[in-house]
Amino acid sequence: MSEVRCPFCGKINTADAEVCSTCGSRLQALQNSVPEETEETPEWLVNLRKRAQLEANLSASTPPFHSTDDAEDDPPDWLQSLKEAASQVNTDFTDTGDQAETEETPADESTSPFTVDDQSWLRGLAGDTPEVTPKPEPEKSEPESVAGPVDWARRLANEPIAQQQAEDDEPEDTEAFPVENGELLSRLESWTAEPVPLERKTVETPPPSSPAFTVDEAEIEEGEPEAEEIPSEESTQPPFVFDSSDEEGSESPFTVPVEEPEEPEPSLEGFPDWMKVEPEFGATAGDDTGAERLVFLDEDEAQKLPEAGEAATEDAAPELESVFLPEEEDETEVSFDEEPEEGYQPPPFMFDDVPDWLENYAAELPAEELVEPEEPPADLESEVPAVPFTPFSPEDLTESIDLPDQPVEAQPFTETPAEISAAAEDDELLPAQLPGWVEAMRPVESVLSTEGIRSESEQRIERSGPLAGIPGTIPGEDLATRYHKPPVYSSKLQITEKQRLHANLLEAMIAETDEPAEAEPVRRARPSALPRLLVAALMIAAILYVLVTGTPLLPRPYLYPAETAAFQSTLQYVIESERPVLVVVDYQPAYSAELEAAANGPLQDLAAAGVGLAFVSTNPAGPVLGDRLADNLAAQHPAFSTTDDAINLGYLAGGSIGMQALVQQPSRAILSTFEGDDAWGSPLLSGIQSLDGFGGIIVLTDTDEKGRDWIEQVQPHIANTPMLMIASAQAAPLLQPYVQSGQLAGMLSGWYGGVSYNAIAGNPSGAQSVTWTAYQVGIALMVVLILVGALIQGIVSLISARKQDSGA
Amino acid sequence: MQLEFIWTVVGFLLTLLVFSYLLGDNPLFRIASYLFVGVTAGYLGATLLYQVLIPKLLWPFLIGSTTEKILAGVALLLVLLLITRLFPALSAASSIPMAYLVGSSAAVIIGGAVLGTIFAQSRATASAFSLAAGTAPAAAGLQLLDALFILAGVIATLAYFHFGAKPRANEAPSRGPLINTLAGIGQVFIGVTLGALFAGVLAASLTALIDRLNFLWNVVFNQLL
Repeated sequence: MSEVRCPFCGKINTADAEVCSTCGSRLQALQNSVPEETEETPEWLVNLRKRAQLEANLSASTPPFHSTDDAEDDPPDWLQSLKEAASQVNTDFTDTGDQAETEETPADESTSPFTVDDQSWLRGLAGDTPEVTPKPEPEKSEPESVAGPVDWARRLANEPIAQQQAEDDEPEDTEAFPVENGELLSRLESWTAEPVPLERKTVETPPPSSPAFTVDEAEIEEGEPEAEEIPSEESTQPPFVFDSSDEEGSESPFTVPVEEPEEPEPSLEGFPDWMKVEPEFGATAGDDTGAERLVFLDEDEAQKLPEAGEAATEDAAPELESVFLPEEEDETEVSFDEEPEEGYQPPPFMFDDVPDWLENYAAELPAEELVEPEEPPADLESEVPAVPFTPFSPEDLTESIDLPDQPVEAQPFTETPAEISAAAEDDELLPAQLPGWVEAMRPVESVLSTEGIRSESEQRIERSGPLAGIPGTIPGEDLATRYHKPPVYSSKLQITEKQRLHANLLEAMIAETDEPAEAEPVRRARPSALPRLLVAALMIAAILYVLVTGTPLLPRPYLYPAETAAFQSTLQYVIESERPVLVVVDYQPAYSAELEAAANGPLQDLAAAGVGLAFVSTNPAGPVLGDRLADNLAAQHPAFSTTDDAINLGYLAGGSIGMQALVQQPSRAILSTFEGDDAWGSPLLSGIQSLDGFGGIIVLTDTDEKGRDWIEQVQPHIANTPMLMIASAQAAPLLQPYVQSGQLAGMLSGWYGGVSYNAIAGNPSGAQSVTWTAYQVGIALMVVLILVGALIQGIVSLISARKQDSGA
Repeated sequence: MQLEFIWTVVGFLLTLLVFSYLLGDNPLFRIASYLFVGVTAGYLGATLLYQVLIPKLLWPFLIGSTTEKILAGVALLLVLLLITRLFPALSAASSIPMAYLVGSSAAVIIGGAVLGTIFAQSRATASAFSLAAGTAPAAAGLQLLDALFILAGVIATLAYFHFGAKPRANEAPSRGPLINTLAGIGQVFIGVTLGALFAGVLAASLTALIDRLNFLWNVVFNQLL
């Protein structure tokens, strides 16, 4: 395995990484806690077996710690008492079966010789609770043979409960236990009779860089979550026991002697039910640490063996050297100080805390107290196969202890490394101290959440890596891949300065439109009936007065517009050309009075000169108006014939397009006369193929649009034919530029233009003079009325303004 | 004589009906209005039928040459397609003759405007400054003054119709000061022009009034009395 996936964040890290490079989670400890299911016997196990075999041989051959010189030194008083208690317990332990039925001892004080020397003494070394420290009290005559195994087993099963119950001094446990567990006690007696545990606890001196300690701490940190899942029988066993129970032949040499007394597990049947049902208390860190102390002491003992071997027996020295010298080299290489693990909590007695006397304790103790020949049980020896010996490696030991005995259902790993370390430290002080009733009082949410996560995680089976095959592993990868960072969208709109200006402009416009219009009372100038009737009456009366009376006759104008003079001169040129004239009648009947009066003089001049007139119109009503003009001319000039001197070409359809067609080919634009006769076959128009065949074109129009259309569409295409315009007074101002530009040869503007033309041409017209007088009277009256109206409006506005000023 | 008198009386009555509008909108005025509209529509229909459809569409399609028939057939097809506008299901077909009419009319009008108005008026404005040889100094001065006045009027009027303005932040768009000044001058020219147009409308209306009053007086004085 070259890489490790972090269970927290799912990131892949290198195999040698201790912590995750992404989230900083601890990886090494998790790896150590992961059981490896290998078919082959691991190397560490082989080393341990070799070491166990060698140790067994060494113990059987020579008691290594007998009568050393250093052991003769004076130990401390308490240590001396401890030694005495240990020796006394050894002797008492053999009489356990006899005294079990008669003696009743409190749970905390009744310890077997093994358990007293092993756990109490070790806890004293580890700085554990002082009540566990062995206190050989001679005044207590209570035999400990019965209470010892009970307390020992109770400690293995559940030390807090044992302590709690010991305070209550419940006699049920101690009374029932000797009867029910006689077999167990006998086995314990036989097991504790073996000198191995005593040898190890007394000889032990923890080295500063013991790899076993590292393993113990790592296991302590993870022992808490696993304690709930391990069965009671397994949890009651020390951590080093399951190594042998799990796999046959994979027993570590250091765990073999200690495990042997645990073999009679069926003896637990005699224990009360509460000890079986609550296995989590049996797997407490206290017991584990006690057992791990044994492992630690075994390791240390193994390191001390060569020295002790030299002092005790000479024949064992070469063998020890051949075995342990390489181990010391490995230990120096893999020291705890060199590779501290994150979250690791050193034991209180480790390194600096270990007093000097304790370091030299192994040498100071007497040989008979320190060393007792340890012989592995026969059955265990039969279980442990003989394997070739290989030098022991601390890493192997570390892995061996971290590995669980069987695939353990992994609990959701929800704690941070810091919490794990804190929990491990707490577990070491107060292992599994929550009683059942407190567990029942826990918040429901925590239980539910844990169960929910667990049920979800149990459905997962790891397929690769160190957790392969284990169901219910931590779904770190799924959790890491399930959640993603929410996409971040920029709330800032990227626009240019120009766009910003436009946006501001649009916003200003919208703001202006959104503003409600001020509802100002608007006084609408309604044309009331009275002023309208008054003005109409004035106008009608004035005009009728002139028309009826014919007085006063006003003279003709003496000043003539330039376009009128140009019109008169051009018309003279047309008359002299003796070619027919095209008269365009493009005005509405409502303006016939104005335009007929304006065109009467020029048409009379043409008719008097015998010039033929061809009438055409783009207005449907134009042909009728053309006939009217011809009839008026015929009435005024008897020589003018409407059939010979005039022709009505009728209606020219198409507007501007019809004009363009007339310019291009007149005969195709106008097929017949208004009466339906052949137009271009008449004597008047014979020989005319285009508009240039006419002597001139006179356009009568009441709108500037019609006049401009004729100018734009026809005038550019006629070269030798002048175009004259007789326009209404309302259209003349807009057609005036075409006169100044020369596009129109001349123009008559309304009635005034006609009168001016008659004045220039010298045409006498009495009727025109009366109407001209009426026209001038009417114009004067209109001007007066406009001025009066403006004056009245000004006065009213001034009065209203003063009223507003006075009111304000 | 009698027929002419009848039509004169009819004209006299219709004129009075129209004058009744001085009292406001009334049925008499509406009768005269509807009568004129109806007569005009009938007259237009008859005119178009006899002046356009029969001589320019029907006869060429019936008795014309092959070319005339083809051309008349195309025109007839366009007419039929234009009639489909009366039916919503087939009205889409009328877009073809409408497109032809609009396109051809636009082309003709734009071409005439460019040639007959823009180029001609621009040339006329510029030629006003060309003094003919031998022109008297006084006349030349007046001509030059007139040309300058016309030029100023043209520029000022065009400036008035220049509605472009630079956008300014948090301010209403407004024209530049130069354009604004010229637009003010152009507004004067435009006002004078509109005044002249209004005067022409009044003059034309006054002429019509005088004609109708003269007609009435003549009818009353000559026919009735």
